[in-house]
Amino acid sequence: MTMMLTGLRSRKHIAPFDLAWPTSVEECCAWLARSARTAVMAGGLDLIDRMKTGESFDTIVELSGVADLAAIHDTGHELVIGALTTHDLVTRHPAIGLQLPDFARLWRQIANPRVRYTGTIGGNLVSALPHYDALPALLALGGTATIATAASGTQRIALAEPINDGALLVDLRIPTSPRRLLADRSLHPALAVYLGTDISDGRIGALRIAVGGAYARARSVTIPYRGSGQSLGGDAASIAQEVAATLPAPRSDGLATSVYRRRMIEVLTRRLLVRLGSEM
Amino acid sequence: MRTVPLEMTVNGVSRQCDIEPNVVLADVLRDGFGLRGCKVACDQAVCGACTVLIDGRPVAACSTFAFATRGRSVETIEGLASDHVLHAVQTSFLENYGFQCGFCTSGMILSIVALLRTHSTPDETLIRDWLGGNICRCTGYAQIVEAVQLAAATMRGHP
Repeated sequence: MTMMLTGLRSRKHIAPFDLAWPTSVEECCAWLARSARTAVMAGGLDLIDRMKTGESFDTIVELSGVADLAAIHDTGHELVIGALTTHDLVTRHPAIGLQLPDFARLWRQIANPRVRYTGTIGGNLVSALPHYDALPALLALGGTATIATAASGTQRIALAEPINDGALLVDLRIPTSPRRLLADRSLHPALAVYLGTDISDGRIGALRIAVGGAYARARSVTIPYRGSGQSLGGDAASIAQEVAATLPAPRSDGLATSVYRRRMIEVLTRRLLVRLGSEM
Repeated sequence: MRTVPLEMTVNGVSRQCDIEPNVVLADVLRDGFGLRGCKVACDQAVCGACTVLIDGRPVAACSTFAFATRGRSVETIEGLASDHVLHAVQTSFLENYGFQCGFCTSGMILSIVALLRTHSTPDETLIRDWLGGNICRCTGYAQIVEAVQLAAATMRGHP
């Protein structure tokens, strides 16, 4: 008899399941409504990892045949990015490069090419592990999401709250009005700070600061602002203080303490504000 | 659990088999087809030892369900040499001491092959970005980066 050593996480722990290969959003929703023990699979990186630790499902709904989930298009006032869009495609799709060049540039720093080819923006958002980047980046960009359920059809939701298990993430929507997105990931995975703002008539608008790595789920705060790049440089320290004081206490774990994280939220936010001001 | 038919191309050869949906690609390659160059180390898509190419792109075979490769082309380290002549990246790793224990090497070489197919003159930053998904605990990477640069020069026809 062959014996095999397996650890707590192993591909040998993946429980049996049946497969579904739908071709439409409606079909996916029907599968999800059928049983709570159904999971959808995009790139599969997180799902397979969870299953290796013992999480099991009766049915896996494989999404690659649903063309509507992979579309990227510009509606004229917002960019619609299908949930199945890979990180790699985010970095090189012409519409994203044209409308959201900061986003495309930042996404080249996410993970490594192997993960970027397989992992999807939707999967990253739904998994939303504390150090994942999609949620804080999209919060800073002022994005929203479209979800679909068998009972309610499609609906637009804010990103701050988690997506319910029975819902299918269809796409992400980001306004195409001029905006900037900056990030400091130098302390990733302990902490990453994203800064987004709308630019109007050459002036900086409300500041959206989103923080990943410091909470169980990324948090954001919006600071009303209207000013020039020069004035933002002068205001950076006080705004960063306000951001750190407004956000809830970060978590403490093996990577960093709550006190350290709060201090670094202030430091990284100030750096990003100064950088934004200098680039205007 | 119902088995599903799997038809794919492995190293240029058409393969068919029936698989259980919960089987990952690494196990089909290793146990089904005897392609043991696909190593499994971390078993969580981090270390890169199990890297193979699917339609030319690097993928972690330990964290890819085999059913997801239906109709696609898989390349493993065993398919890289041509007519018993090593690929330029393999030769460069040998000549420049790009490995010691060798456990990570097949995955690393396949990642680099994918890189050099799309970027003929990668700079060191790009090489290190691509190597970010392949962990080596022996060499310290300096010789690996050098091996990649020299392989790139060879493939451009400037040895």
